[in-house]
Amino acid sequence: MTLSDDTLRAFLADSLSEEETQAIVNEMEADPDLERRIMALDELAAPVGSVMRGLPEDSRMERLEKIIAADHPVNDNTKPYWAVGVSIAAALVIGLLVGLSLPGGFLSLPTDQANVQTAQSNWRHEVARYQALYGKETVAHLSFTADELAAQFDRASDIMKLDFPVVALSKLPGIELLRVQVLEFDKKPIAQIVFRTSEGTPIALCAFAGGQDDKLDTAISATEQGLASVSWSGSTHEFMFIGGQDQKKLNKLAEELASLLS
Amino acid sequence: MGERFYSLMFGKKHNDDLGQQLVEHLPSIWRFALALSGDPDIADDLVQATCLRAIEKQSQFDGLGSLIGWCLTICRSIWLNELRKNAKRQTSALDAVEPEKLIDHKIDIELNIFAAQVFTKVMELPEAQRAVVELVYVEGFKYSEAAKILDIPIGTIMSRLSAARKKLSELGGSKTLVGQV
Repeated sequence: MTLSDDTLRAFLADSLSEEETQAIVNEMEADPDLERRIMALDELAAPVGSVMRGLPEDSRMERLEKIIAADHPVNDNTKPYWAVGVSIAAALVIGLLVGLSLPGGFLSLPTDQANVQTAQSNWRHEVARYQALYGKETVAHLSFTADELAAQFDRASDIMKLDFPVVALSKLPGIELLRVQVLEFDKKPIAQIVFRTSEGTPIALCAFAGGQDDKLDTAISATEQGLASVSWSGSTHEFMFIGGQDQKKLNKLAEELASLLS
Repeated sequence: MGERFYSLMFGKKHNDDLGQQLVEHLPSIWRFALALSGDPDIADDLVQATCLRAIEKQSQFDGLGSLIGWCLTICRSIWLNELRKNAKRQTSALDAVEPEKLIDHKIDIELNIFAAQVFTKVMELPEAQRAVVELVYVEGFKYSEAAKILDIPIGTIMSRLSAARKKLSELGGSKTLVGQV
């Protein structure tokens, strides 16, 4: 079904017949591109969204964060009946300690909050924070020749002491290889290989020569800074593949990458 | 590598990230809670309950989807099953929500007035329409993702959004609204 922008605007305005509306809904359920197209035509989304994203006020968030971070019991009479006798902060700490002490966990049990904070500030977290700054515009005009790309990978390989399978990386399905650059964390190099999906979404594969504390027993899928990610350990380097919100797609690509870089 | 590669190790290895991510998602969770409850104080309580429930149930998060989507599903469940029946009934959403108390006063006065008008119009919407506007317009979820969070068909999402658009377009017409950004 070929649908014009005018028809889709009429759909948004609820001006079509019931049959036409249902036909478009059915089409949209099967076609994510159509869904994206309709969303892009909705002129109310941006102004309404930008106003409402200004909420809540800073003081309210600070207060909520303090409540969540502080160790204050919630079981006083003024609290709603659904409140339980464990503060959120205590639950957070309990959650951390339980997670870290499970059999097979590779992290040692922290003895105080400082150790917990250190465990949180690892290279993957910093990569995620950096990658979260990437938008479609960041990678929209990135373009290097084959020679320039080869030179970038030669340099990255020298610094990282890691061979990158450039040809295979350039042939991954659904994503376009754009460039590689070398960043630094804790005085150690991180190679960031940047890709772009067919929708223009930036995705990065990062490699880091971490220490024993960075080793993962198995690959992990997780959302970091609102981005889908997969992390795994190779024989000599740590890897993190991160970007977009399509975790399934990322998992599939990461499996292929892990076989290329292990 | 198969299943082992996609091991659900989130609960074992990355509990340290869950607390941090919950704090980072707090504004989104709060906005959704406000959309459901129409009351900022109830939204505060709903956010706290959501965070606590997310921590208690973290082993159920498989790490393959969006954490924020999972949290909003929890938020909605708590609202429907536990809080809504006990929430103070308001004759008008405006009784509980005063725009000037929630909107950042650091921004330009004219923009502030416009923001107050948009905010008021959104809060005047029925709960069901507010929730869809919040998920799609504010948090940027796709229609299909909003449908999953709210556990309703995508057609219902579209009809609620259409109804909301009709009311929001009353703000001087959509072109004026667009022109303000």
